[in-house]
Amino acid sequence: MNCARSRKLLALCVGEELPPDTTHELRVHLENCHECRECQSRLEENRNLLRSLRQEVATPAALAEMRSNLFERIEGDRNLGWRVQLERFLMGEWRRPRFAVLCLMLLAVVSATVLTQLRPASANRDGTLALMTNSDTLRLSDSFRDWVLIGTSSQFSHSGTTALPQNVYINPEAYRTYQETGKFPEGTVLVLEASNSERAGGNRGKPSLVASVKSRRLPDGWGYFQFTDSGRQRTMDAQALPETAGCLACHRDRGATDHVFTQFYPVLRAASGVL
Amino acid sequence: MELLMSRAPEEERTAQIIEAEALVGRTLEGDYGAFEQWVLQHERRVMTFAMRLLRDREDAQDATQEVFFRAFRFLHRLDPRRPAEPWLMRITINVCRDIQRKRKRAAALSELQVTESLSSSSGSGDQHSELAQEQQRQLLWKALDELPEKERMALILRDVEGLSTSEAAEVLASSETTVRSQICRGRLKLKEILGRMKGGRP
Repeated sequence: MNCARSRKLLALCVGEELPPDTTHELRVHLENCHECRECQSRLEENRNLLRSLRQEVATPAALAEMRSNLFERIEGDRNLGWRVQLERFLMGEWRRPRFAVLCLMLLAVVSATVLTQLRPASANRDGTLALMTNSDTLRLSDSFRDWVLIGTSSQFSHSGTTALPQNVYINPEAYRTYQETGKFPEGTVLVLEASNSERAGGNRGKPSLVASVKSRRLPDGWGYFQFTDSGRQRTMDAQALPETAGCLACHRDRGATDHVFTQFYPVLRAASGVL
Repeated sequence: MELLMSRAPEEERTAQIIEAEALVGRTLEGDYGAFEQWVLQHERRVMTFAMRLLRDREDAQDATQEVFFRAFRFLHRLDPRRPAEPWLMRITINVCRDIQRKRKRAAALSELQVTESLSSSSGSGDQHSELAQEQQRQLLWKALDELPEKERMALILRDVEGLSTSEAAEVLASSETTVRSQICRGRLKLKEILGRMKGGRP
């Protein structure tokens, strides 16, 4: 045992907080170390000094005065306030098992109800995930390929240079509503997946993704999002493109229904009964 | 009243728990007499502890009143089957901390007076006189003040108040291991500080 460890143990030993086997080990060290013996006597001396502070105690007169003031204060402030009263009621009743069980059951029912209410707000009912994580960010999952494919074409290349195949999908819930009402509901998501024109060989490049979303949270009721390719993994969060990107104005002015080019998609025309 | 976290035999302990439960229950039903009995059981311990933390009788009296006032308001939070002292001592620590914060300037002044009184009489050499003992106590408090808050509190609870390590841990809402380590560090640091103050070897 070295002196540093011995002193740590001594600090505990003076308060009789060491297990017997360690005490023995320490005793052996102390027999051979004058400095640690010195340290021990100082620590013991200090502990006795600290104990001497116990001599000072509260006097009966001071206690009586305190008590008198206390009850005067309690009398003058009888109103505990509604929070304390409610807490008292709940905690007092909580100790009764029947009340506790009833509260737990009530809590379970409320939680289940709230969760049920929250679910449609965070995901589409069809299980696909496309949600606005804040006022101008869209998160998309790869499951959009399971949505309704409304068109495959090579006519709408954004670059305008090369005609490349591109697919457009709509979320099933919006499609059904459009079928029934001829209108695109809040939460409509259309995804345009286009082959990447920047890479030679076509199928070697990752397809680019552009989405349009109908949401009241967006300034014009619709927003346009471009998902960028960051190395191996595409980022599935995208911020709304600014109006200067041109998407909004073009779709607003030329879309046959709302912001959607329904005139180009036989599937949508058929869905709304216009052939 | 050295009944803290009682070391009494089992039967006596059970009787104390039953009595405490009854007093707390009656107080919650609005019986002030029951609360007064409950206060009588714990007031000396609380005020003495407050005196040690604040080192001012008047402040300690105010602090004790505040502790029992808070205890009265929040008595429903106390589990009457458990000893009340750790709970009360925890409130006392919080109340004293508030008072110290409010009266920081006054405390600084008092510390200055202590230092002056120590330096003016340091050459007396009469270690057995009342004055010398008082000065030694003042020096010790001053040394304790130099310790970090947690180590100081652990040391006061263990060595001045005489609680066991587990009882101190309960008051400080900490683990026994943590408190033991704080006590260990506190004792070693206190030795260094006192050694330095006395001008000799640590």
